[in-house]
Amino acid sequence: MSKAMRQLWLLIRVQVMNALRLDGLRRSGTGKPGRFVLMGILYAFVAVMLLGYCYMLAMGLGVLGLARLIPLYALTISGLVTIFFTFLKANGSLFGCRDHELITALPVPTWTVITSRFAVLYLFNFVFSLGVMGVMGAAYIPYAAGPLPWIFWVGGILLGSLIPTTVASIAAALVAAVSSRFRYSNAVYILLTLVMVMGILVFSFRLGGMDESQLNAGTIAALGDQLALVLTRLYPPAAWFGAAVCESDAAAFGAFAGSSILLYLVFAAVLSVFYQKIQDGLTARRTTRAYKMGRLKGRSALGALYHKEWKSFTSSAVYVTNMGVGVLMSVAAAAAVCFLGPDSIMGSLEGLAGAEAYIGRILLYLPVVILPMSNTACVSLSLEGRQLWIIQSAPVALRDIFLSKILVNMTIGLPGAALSCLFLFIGLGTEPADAAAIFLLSASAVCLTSVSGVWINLKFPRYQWENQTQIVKQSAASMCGILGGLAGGIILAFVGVRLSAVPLWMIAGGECLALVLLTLLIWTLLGRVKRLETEG
Amino acid sequence: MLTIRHLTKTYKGGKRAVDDLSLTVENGDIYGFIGHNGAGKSTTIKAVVGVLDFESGTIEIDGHDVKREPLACKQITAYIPDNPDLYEHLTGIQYLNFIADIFGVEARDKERRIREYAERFEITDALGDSIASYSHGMRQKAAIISALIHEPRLLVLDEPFVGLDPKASLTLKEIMRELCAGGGAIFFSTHVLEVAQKLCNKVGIIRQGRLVVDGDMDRLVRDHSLEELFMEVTENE
Repeated sequence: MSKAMRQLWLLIRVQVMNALRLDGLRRSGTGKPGRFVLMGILYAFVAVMLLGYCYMLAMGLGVLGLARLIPLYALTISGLVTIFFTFLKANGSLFGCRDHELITALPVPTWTVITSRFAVLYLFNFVFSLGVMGVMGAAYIPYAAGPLPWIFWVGGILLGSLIPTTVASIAAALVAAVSSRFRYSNAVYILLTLVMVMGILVFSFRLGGMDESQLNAGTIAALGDQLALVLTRLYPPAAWFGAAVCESDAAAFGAFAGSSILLYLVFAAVLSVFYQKIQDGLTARRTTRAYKMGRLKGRSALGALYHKEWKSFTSSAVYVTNMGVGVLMSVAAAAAVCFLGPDSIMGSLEGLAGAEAYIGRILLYLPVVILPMSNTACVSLSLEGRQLWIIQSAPVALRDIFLSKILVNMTIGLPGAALSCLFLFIGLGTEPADAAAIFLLSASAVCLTSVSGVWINLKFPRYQWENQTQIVKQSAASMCGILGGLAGGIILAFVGVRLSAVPLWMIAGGECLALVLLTLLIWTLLGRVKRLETEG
Repeated sequence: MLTIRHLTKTYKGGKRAVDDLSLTVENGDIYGFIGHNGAGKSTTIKAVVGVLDFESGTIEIDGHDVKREPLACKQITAYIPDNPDLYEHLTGIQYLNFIADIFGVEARDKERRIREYAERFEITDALGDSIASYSHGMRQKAAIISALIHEPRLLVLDEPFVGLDPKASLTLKEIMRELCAGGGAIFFSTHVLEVAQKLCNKVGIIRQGRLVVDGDMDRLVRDHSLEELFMEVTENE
């Protein structure tokens, strides 16, 4: 193995071990088996749900005679999800890592450093790609002619996440480069990231929505053409991959593979030139050395804790963009309903028998489903990290510490609930009783999310980390908080829609009561916690 | 002020970091706690300040048990860890204000003390800057000031002189003496044995979790240096 390859391998190895905490598990010997099993169950549950959906989708396409769309769907789903999540975690993975100075001081070329950081992103995305394209490939088995489609499919799994990871990294690098030029680079970074996230969502939604509204008119064959058009417009490389698999077109696969690799090589080469400059810009801290003592504002202990917590949230780009996105999506969706009409959100249900009757009710549950995805509390204890000693040695009750973290989530969640509900009620002309019940339900969902977030983090604490991305995006607490909130919201919405014969205010009121009781129960459990368990 | 009786702490995985350790720090004492790396100094200190739980023994601060009355103990104690990891998203003044609010220090006292200690450590003009921009020494100074804001009666320090410039080290020693002269007590670990010998009236040497020497500095050292005593104790056993 050459020196450069060995350096690359060592860097990738240490970063993957750090991200997965394999080192910690190995060192401790026991590795907290109970918690490990719980995490395993959680990840397995998510994997089964996602892969089950993909498999059923592929099977459905096959039954409809649209098997040629399976490779397009496989690559597009994998690609778009990869772009979305890689963009959100690139800051902290590619840029702004705590070990940047340590790595930079090593005799390793910048290109190798970038490739090692990119490789870690790619590896995690590859696992996702393997799952999605693997199960969809299994559904494609009856339609494959000869061995070539399988060779291309395996190639697609290996290379499929390369372009989306590169595209997301380019977007993240651009945002980082632009924001690093500003005085308040972090605030600009947060703003640009949020704008970009909304842009990605609106772009994919509008492209999908435009053509789906026309699908009902055509025959199945025309429907297939329409879908193929939508998918290749959403994700152009899918066209090459589709042609390679369906028509055994080696040239198309060559174009797909070549463009995937070439795009990365160009990206890495260009970024190598600006990498250090971007890093310096993002990590540079303004110093004035001109402070003059003045009057200091006094706060209660809880007020001080809350203020500290709020500053911690708003000063972290990765924290805001990942844990604030649920609120942003909820308000944006509700605003779309208000200003563009319900069709802007529910276009895909048009033509389905009886769907119109449910649309209003489904839309009213939007905040209940989406808002709980914003859960700052579920990672807030872990984010104390190396500073945990400060609150551990401070003369404050644990309840106040928990409450400060809960209140921060409520600070973003409750206005989000109010704004979302307001837009929805105006857009849908909701009855006052229903409106009141839905607002209370949304607010209580935010409260439960906040309180349960702290409880989840107590169950899955992790205070040793190198960058916040490991906690905000990759930790079990984060996954549990976000997906648990989403699942809970879906269950509430499902009950509300299924019981359409019962007045909405009655169902939402009952659900609200249940959430309040659950919140009180978890708050009581939090009161019994005696100390913050560290990993020592 | 500080009484530790039969303290034992075993980490997950079975390593016994502190083994049946007992010691007493009286009002007015500066107690130097020394030992090799990994001997159990930081573990003992973390148990004293309530950062780390322990399985057996008792720790009392001014008559309050740290397990049964943790808040009462913390209210009169200040702790500075060996690595001053402070909130990097806050400015120096925001951090000091935060700590003062947590300890319930009156606004007038808070301003007076921050002004006084910041001037003594020559850090006033940097208090408006983000802690992320601070050097290790400046963080250490900020951590020391935050520890003094509420006028603690017991100061627990883990390697407090690491990273400090000579002037700041001198200032810290002065403050330590002033605190003890006022009836407070200091329990601190250090590897700088010359400093310990000059500054402390009591010393404890910990070896593999057990306290092997404990007593008055003058009585233990006599005509030798603390360094000689330390080498003799840690190498002969």
